[in-house]
Amino acid sequence: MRQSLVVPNSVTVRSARQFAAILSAEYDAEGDLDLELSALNEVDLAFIEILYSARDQWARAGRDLRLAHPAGDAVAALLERAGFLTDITPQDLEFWFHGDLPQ
Amino acid sequence: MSTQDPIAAFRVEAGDLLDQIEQGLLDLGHRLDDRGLIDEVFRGLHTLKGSGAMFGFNALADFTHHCETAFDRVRKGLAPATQELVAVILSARDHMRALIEGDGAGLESAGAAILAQLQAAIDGASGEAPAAVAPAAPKGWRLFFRLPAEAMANGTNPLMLLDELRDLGECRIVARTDTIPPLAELVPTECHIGWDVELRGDISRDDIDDVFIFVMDDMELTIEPLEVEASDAPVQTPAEEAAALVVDVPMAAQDGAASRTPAKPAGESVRVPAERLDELMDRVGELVIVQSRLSQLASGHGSAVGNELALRSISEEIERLAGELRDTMMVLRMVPVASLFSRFRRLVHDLARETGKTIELSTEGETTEVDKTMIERLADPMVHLIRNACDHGLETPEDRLAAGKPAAGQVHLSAHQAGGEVLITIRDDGRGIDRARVRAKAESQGLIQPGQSISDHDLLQMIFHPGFSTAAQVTNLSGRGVGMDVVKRTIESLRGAIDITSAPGEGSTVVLRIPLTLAIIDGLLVRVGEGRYVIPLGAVEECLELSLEEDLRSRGRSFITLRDRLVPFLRLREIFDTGTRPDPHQKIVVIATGSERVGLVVDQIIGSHQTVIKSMSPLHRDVATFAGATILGDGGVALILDVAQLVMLGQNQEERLRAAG
Repeated sequence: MRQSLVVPNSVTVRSARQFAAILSAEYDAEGDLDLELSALNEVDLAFIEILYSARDQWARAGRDLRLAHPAGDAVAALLERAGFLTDITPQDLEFWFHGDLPQ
Repeated sequence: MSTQDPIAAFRVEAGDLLDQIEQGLLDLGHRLDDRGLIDEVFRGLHTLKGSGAMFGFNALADFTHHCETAFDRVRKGLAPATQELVAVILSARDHMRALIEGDGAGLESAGAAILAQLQAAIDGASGEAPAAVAPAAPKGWRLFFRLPAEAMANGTNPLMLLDELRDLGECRIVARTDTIPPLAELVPTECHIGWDVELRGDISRDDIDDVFIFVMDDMELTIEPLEVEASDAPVQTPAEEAAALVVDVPMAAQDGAASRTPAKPAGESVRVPAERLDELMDRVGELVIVQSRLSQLASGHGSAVGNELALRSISEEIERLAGELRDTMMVLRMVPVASLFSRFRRLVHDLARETGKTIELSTEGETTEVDKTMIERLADPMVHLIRNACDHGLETPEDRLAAGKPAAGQVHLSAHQAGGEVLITIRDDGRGIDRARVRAKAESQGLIQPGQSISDHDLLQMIFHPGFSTAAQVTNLSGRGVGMDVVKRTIESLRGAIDITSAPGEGSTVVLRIPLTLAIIDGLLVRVGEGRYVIPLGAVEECLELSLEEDLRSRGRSFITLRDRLVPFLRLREIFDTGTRPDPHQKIVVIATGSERVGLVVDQIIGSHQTVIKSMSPLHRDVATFAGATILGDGGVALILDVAQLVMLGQNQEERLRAAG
């Protein structure tokens, strides 16, 4: 069964624990998960790290975690600034931008 | 929790930084080519500049910036570190302290003079530096870094560091996610991302280090040159380099990096290891349990016998806990004597420069711990003693060589604990105290009669008389006859003692014997008339009975014979003018400081007493016979006798009687 989770408007190191706890609860609920990032406008590396971590956990369980829509400007800018888009792997490109780098 | 004044916190923080810079410079003085020390001093200057600017100490930030810029040339290999440069930066460090402690007003010309000296020292050093010392500039660098896991939680923003790297030149950054754990194992506030970075351009290794300066200690960082350019690569001239450096602005002020360093409590503070606090917490926990047992007992209805037994058990438990709490609490105030000894490295360095002597300072037993207040109060007397050792004790290199000694004079500081005391020794291998000169001076001052026989020990004690100096020349260091009497008085005010030994041609040794703490002592509680008094137990040698017959027989000649030695004794009843009749079984408590002994006649010895020392009121502070007061178990007050003063009183009495024949 596929679940959907709306990510709050801010996920930073200050709220990282709560967000990770919500994701963990979703993981316990079984099934695949779509993340809705449209409200997210304040973000830092803690968010990126949690998503990498969660993807790993979902993949190990043979389950699917994906973004409902390609990442928006705030996330794209953060990924760019932090060096995630240099030599980006096809898997990461698919996960963050559904296959197409933003122009 | 009390709110802290950030300026005061900065002053404490800056004081620590200055101490680190000073220690680094002193070490550098011995190992001028030690790259690690050069970096350490530079980091200290850099941090001080940044924090100073952040807290509004602009004069400090500006002055430190100039010093940092100059020192950066040493760091970059454009100028070698020299003794001259170390000395100038040490005086610059003193100027920085003055800027931190005051508002910088009136210090401008002193600062400018130091900067001029610094420039001269750097220019002089650069002139000596071979042109080849300029390192070949690599084409770029490849680095990998991963920040300490808690970096983000502590306020470090990795993105800012990446931006700073980008500012250095052409930069390619690739994030590495391979060590991010799965969600179940992730601590979400920790940073597990690593970064591979390729930097291209004329970038020095130091420029990269500067980016990570505040996180360097705990992070993972590897830096490799990409490729070294051909030997004909243009090398920046010192002038160009300096020009490039002057546009550098305080980094910490820009990005708030200094705010990441933890603020420390302002004012009087002691750093306490966490395990000692845990120990204290355990004791307090036990005390709470015992208190609850006591409450239960108070509200219970058990049998009288049962209650009495329980009460006794609780009383014993509280006694044990009070003792342990006292010991644990005392230890909290203890700091290693290393913090005292480290101050003298600079002193000896400066003395060596001023006297033109080569002086080596060695230390031992730095981990010995002493009460913090004691450390503070020992500093001045020790400065006097070390100055004396360096100025009067040690010979010039020529004289030493002529005497068959190594050219470098030795000053050795050591500390070790012996029972309830700490022995601090200051030893030099100089010429020793000239007894003939001491005798001549003592005779000329009328302290002894010409030709009077006097023991070697007593002769050496003459140097502690006020105004006594045997120095042929008064220097700005010592020899004014001010100091040794103050040293003795200070040590005695700490309930300590000072011993001096000296061998001609071999040097002198001064031993300071000081108690571990100033706050609590073991005392002997005695009664004199109606009053009760405490005699510090450490000074008590023995207790004797003074029978009424002996008392009457010895009247007018207050001496007892103790193991074939006459010991003067004082009747405290008379000194304190109690107006009471003597007890039929009076006791003599024999007390001693060093080798001086005196008996104190008391009416009754009550027993040993754990004495918490309270200082005397301002009205009574000048009463020399008492060192303080304490509150007894019944709420009464007992005065604590000042042993050093009483021994002096006894010795004076002995001298008077001797003089009277």
